[in-house]
Amino acid sequence: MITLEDQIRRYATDVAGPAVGEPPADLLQVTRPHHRGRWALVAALALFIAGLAYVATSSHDSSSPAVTTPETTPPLVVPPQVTSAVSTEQACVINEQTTVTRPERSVVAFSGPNGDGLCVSFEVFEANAYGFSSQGPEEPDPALLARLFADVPQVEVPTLVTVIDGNEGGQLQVSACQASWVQEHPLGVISFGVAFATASPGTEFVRFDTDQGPLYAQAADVPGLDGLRVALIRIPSLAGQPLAEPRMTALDADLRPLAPPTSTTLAPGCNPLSSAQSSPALVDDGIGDSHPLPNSG
Amino acid sequence: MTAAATPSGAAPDGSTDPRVAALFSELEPRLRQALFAYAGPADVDDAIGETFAHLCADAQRILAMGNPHGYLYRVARDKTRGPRRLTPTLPPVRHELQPEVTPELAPALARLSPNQRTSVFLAAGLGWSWIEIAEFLGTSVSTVRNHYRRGIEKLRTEIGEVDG
Repeated sequence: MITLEDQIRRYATDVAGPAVGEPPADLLQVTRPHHRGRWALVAALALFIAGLAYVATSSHDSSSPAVTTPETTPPLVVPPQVTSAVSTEQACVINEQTTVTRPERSVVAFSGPNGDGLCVSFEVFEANAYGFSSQGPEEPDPALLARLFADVPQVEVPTLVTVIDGNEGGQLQVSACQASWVQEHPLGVISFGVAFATASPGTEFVRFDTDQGPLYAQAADVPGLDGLRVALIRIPSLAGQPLAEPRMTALDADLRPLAPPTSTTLAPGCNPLSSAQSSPALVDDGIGDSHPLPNSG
Repeated sequence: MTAAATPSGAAPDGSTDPRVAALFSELEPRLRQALFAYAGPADVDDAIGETFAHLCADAQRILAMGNPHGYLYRVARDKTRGPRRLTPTLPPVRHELQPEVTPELAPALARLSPNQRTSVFLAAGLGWSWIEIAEFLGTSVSTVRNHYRRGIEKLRTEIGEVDG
């Protein structure tokens, strides 16, 4: 008879190189707990329950008949306090004097303690370079998503987060106002110039592969925005027109920081940079340090 | 795409900082084993290369960390994982060389959760200590032991012990 541990050891050393040492001395004890300790625990638990029952019985006997009052069970889960709001207006305030409306695009203005000025531009998705389309607010068919990613193997996002790559022009796919699933489904959206990707909790960073190399963006919680978790990058092309200089705050294929942008690439009516000024940890330069998004001027 | 900054892991003469090289040469064999345990052999080389690049690019900060091994393992792990990495493909048991090892072992290992597989593979298979595994996983020894216990129990249920 060969033990399971021996089988694992022989297999592992065959496929993954030599063992670095002997297995932990207490390897078998981990899987075979002392039954003596278990019985002691059961006995202690039984004693505790018996004592509890005795105390409850004696206190019930000594108390006077009480008026029964309906008990209200407190909620088990305290709903989170709303600290921000999402406007449904089709407008964003770029600065205090200018309000820009984009009728062809859903522009969501966030407001809140730290989210004032963050403006995310969403555009109803029509089609992208990979033939994926969604005409309404319905959640896309998972099979369709699977086929999409089968065709786009270079789009890899860790931790089960699905990010739909935009088309080559960087158009945006969905309207967060119209499609409620956007806020619940771990789906990312890519915007013009500045890309936003909503990410699920636990996502550390998002990788976008472009023809100019992978872009990395650190996912970060936006303070005051009720758990909105975004990854910010700049994509190197805009509406199919390659920019003179690739611009991103993430890292390039060699994991080296790029030069800050020299001119604006933001979609009109949207100024997400203003949020970076109020929440400096919004943008990350890859996998590690966070820093404010450089002002695109 | 041109670089605008020199990687912080590079010495002024352009060579790699010796501390970076020492850290990585010390780490690389274990990183390879841990990544294998986590995601199988696919992409391990690429992930290690990218992790080294990441280390060079941000060497000062990483060298100053309390647990650079754990951090770099998590960086490398993120390079390998994705939806298709949830159930890795492990190499089959070479039955002609190891007739006493059941062929069911590899697929059963692959079906474990990543942390369970990593704990079982490294502790029972490659002789890592609990502390070493905990350092890489960025968790406590007791958590690693729990991962191990659950993983080995699953394996025992599925394949048990065989006559050898």
